[in-house]
Amino acid sequence: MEKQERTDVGACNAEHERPQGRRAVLKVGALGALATYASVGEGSAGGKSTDKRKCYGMVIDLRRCIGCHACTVACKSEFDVPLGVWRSWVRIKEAGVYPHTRRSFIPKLCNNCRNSPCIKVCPTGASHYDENDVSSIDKTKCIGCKLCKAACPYKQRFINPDEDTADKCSLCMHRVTKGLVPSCVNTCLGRARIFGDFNDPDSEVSELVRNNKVRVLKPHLGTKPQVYYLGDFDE
Amino acid sequence: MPTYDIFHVPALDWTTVLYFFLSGLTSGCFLLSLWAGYGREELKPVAKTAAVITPISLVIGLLMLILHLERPFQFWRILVTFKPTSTTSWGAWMLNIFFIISIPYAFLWLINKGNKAKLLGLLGLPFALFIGLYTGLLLMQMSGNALWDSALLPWMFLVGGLLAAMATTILVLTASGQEAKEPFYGLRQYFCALIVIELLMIFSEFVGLFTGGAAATEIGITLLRGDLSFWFLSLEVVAGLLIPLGILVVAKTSKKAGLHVAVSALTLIGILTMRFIVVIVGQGQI
Repeated sequence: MEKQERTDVGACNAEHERPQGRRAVLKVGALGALATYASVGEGSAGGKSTDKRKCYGMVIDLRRCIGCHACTVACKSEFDVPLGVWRSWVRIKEAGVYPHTRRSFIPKLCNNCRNSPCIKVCPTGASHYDENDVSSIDKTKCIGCKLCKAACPYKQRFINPDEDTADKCSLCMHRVTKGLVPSCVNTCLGRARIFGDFNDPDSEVSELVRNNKVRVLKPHLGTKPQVYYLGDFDE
Repeated sequence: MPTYDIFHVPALDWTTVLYFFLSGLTSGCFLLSLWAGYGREELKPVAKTAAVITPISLVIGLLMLILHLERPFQFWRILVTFKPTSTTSWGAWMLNIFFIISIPYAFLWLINKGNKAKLLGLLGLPFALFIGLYTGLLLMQMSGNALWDSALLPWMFLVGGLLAAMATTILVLTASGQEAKEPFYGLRQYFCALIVIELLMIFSEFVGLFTGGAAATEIGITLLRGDLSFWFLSLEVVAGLLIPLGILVVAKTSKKAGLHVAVSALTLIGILTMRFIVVIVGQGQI
């Protein structure tokens, strides 16, 4: 039996990666040096002690998802998301030839990557890690260059036509900070979506990834996403 | 297998394609001008013309960049901060510094003070080089994309920019009625060399795609047999590279204006098509 790679799960116990990456080689001139420390400190969550640091994410139990789209609708309603764009939705894939067909459902949302490409490419710092270490967008700073949209390998970002800025699933931080669960998690009638803090070893999500075989989307890209899928799916 | 997903609007569109073309042109013109300035006396017209084209294409490029934004009037926000992991942030700063250098550079050449311009040109050299490469770097940074995840991309953009620069310079010189003392104003061999390099890079890119895994192979097949493959092969490769190369090789001693225009126009169409294909096919919008 194939041994599940667990390096993704462990990623959360470390501080989220300071955006450095390959562009470290481009640090030419004093131009970068001083500005670096000023700007990197700005947008990241840094400064918090490691035990208080959160790592919010989800486990999605695909065995329970029936593709009803209740989560899609709840999310739309929670944020009054404009028509034609989506913060969270369910992708459906069909396989096989009639009469031997099957459907698989993959609920999709912002993966709250620890090594996030969208945050790395943002030129104004609008895309950043907020005080809860969640990938967020500062709408006042966003100029709508759409590079985060091009960079996200999970296609989670869109341009909000009402605000003319980048937008995406925010993991319902406005609810979570009040002790509630995200809207989609609240609505899911199959209890397929489970939300929690991966830095808390006693949380339900931590327990689920410890005791089950879980997968993330596109692990080879090194984004360290925090949405784990339980059960099999066609990528 | 059939997939039911939401519709994904591509992030980069025609404004990006035009900007990539113009930034390549601007950096290529500057590099060409600097190289020609330090070269033979016969190349001086090339140096002067390319120097003047540089800030003009840069301004139009900046306009394209601003047009691309969803909130164009907020463009200044990119210049009040610096994000070292963002190639775009680097690009915005380098572009503006380069702009400030390119204007006196062009002016000095206009008033025929080429020697002073050359010194200023050396200052602008690293910026021009960066601008020629960075749009390719920007795309390459998005490693999830099968077409863009290639180390060749920045270099294809740079060489493409140099080709566009040579083509535009020859076109402007011919159109302004300036007589060519040498075939193609002395640029013939270098033009040929760059076309050959670009062709080799395209070949290498395809080898990379067909050996790069499932997603990469799929993109490779789309380029060769998809809806846009006709335009890719006919405009970018045949009309944009092979035919100009053919003309340049065969018409060794010709100084005819018609051939100059033909080579230039075809090359420009080819380079513009290349940018279009990379951006549009790369985003899966076949």
